[in-house]
Amino acid sequence: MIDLINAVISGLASAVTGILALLPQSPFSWDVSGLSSYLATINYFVPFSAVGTMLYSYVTAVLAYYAIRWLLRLVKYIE
Amino acid sequence: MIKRKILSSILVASMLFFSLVFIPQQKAKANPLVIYPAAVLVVGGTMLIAGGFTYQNRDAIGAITTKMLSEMPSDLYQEVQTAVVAGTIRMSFNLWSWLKSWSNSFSASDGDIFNWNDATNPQTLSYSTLGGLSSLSLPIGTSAVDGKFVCPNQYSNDATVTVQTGDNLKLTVAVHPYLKTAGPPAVYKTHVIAWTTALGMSNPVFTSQDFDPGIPVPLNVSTNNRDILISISGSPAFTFTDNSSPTVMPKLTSVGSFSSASNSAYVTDFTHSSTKSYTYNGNDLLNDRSLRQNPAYDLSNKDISIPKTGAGTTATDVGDLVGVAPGQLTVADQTTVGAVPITDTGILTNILTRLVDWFDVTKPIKWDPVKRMTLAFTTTFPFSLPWDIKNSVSALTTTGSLSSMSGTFYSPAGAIPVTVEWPQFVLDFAPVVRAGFLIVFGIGLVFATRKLLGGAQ
Repeated sequence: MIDLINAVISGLASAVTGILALLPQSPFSWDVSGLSSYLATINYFVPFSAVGTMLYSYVTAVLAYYAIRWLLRLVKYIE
Repeated sequence: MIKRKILSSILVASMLFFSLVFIPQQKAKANPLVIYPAAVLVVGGTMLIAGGFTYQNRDAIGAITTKMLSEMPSDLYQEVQTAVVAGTIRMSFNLWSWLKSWSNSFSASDGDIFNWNDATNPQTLSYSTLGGLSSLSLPIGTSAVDGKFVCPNQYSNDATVTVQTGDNLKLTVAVHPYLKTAGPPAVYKTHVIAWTTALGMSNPVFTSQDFDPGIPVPLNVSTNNRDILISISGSPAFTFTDNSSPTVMPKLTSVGSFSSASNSAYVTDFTHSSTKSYTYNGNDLLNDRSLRQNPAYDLSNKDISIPKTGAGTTATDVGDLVGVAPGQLTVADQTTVGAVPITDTGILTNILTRLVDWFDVTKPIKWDPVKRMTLAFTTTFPFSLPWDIKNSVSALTTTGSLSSMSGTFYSPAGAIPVTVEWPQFVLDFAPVVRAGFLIVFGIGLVFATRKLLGGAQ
């Protein structure tokens, strides 16, 4: 039975990965090596680390909100 | 309504999944008799939900399933039967078909498969089909080998059966799991009784026959082809019909792994069942050594399918499953043929091994494919956008520090190095700037994405 579950997991993952292979790769490149001598100073005034943490928390919260809202709508607790 | 049904089905399936996979993980090792019936019950319920047979009422459930399950030999089915009668579960016909198929693999009847009806003179034996013959009593001692059946080939040094003059010997066949010698390449062997070109029982010998798994062994038992009397995927067994009760292989020792009757499992697998008519007599298969194949079975010029092989070597771990002591099912004496180890790969072992393997919830679920799939999302556009944003921020992130600014001024007097220290007020207000930036960023983020949270409605 576990083998069957593993086979299902592997099959679904392979199918999704195959579909993703048809899509293009991310076009963005974030090479900021030219700013390396100034990054420390910039980071002294602009807390990018804190910004990143805030973004991560915010996205997680939004996704959780959407998931819960979808479930509640599924059981007709809200419209 | 439909959505609620879908949700309910998802919840039920999730409960079954967790009850089947996660909860028994610790208990599975402790008591298979508890886990396996429980697993079967859950599977039965799952199959019913999936569209199994619907009974009219609880009494009908009990009556029908009791009748069906009454043929079951093992404790496992007794557990299932009890649960069904009590109305705890309803069983689909799909599941029942599987159970029934397994039950039919245990066969027994009152007769032997090889019952030659010639009391005294085997040389005059006339047969067209084995099914038309009934019994044969052979006075031992008149044979050319002085009452010994000799295996001339593989087991020539071991397989000697000595019987006493005057013993009546009746040849039967108990289909036995064949042997697979370890490879590579693995060689599959089965036992046969070869009837030499000389007439009569004077030269019946054991021999072995190699075969390929999945390819039937041909039977040549017609009147015109007597060189091989029995070519069947099993071990021949001797039943002495003296004053004592019939026993199987009482004096056959050290023939490969068949060291004694107590460690042999008799399993039949005659899959081409046009005339097959099994009758289970209620006895436990593994404790009833008198079990035989149905005599009405017509073996003339038929192909007998090889019992399906299994990877396991013993069934010790699942002894309780069929109500026998551990080790009774398996071949205890794993002797070798020459330097090659022998592995018992019988169909019963195969079935039980597969059953145990199916319900083995201790095996890990492999999430590696999911992890690789998730990794693909992070680099594939447009799903990669969240990770692109994260990478953009990460690229700018480093440890903040405020070092002095240095430079060089060029004048007519030459280059003048200059070092400028940051004013104190910058140092004082830097924390305020950082906090203010975070506040503005947070507020801006909320306003920028207010549509996501319904703010625009």
